[in-house]
Amino acid sequence: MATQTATADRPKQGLAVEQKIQKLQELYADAPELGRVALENGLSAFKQELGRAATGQESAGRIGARQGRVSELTGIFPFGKGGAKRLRGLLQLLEGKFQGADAVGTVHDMRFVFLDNDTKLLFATAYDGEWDAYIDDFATKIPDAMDVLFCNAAGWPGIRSPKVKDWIIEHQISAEAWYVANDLTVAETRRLKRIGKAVDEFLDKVSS
Amino acid sequence: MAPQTLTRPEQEQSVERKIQPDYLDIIDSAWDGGIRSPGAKDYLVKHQITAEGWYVAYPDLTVAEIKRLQRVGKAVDELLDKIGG
Repeated sequence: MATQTATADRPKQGLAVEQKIQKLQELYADAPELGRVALENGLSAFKQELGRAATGQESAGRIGARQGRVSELTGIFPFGKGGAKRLRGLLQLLEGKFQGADAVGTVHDMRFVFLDNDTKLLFATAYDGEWDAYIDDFATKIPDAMDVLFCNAAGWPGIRSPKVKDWIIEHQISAEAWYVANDLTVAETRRLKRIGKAVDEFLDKVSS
Repeated sequence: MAPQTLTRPEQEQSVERKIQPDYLDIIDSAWDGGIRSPGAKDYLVKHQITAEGWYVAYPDLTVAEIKRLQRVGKAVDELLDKIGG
């Protein structure tokens, strides 16, 4: 499932803004009229956007994209027999509580979406740091939770298996584009939340 | 899809309000009628799939609040540096 990025078509880094605009107009020459009109209308804003310094999207390691310190993992996994029914039941019983993910400490978010009449699972997550370390974290911190969730995918080798990383890569697809609003790790965000609370309490005490 | 503009400077907000509709049409130019169309929301709903499971590490914080906390954290660090320096 992992796809190679069409690097041959990727614009070279460091093109001048005018060159990028020209490339964009070429790309949109055969777009629906709506898109072509929108491009013309938004040209000045696009010039500003394209003129900004690159934000530094790079690889998260073996696969996936990273923006600053936050990476993405997107995969489409075929369900095994009865897998969709079991996973749906499990997720409903969990009611959105994922204490395991809290324990890992590097997971920003996760989503489980069922595709094509419950034959495939789209799993997408944002996490801190490198791909290898992320998978290792799950394997060491919550191995049983991982196997309970992912045994529902056909061919899941088990999180403790030496083959698990290759299996994930087979089903993972690198995002073509990846945007992150805040380049903060989960730990930093939680720390800031505590600081914010302490500052609010301090100001309350000072003003009362 | 909704733009997060709550705490951005006024100038940036006004630019975004101007460019956002076209920007979305450029990215998603396959849809009929565009983002200004009365059918835009129905189109999105037709293609959206609700997640069966959804986890967020800090569900009580919005993007705007995190940005505010970043400023608060920086100010606290600077204050502590001054006191300690």
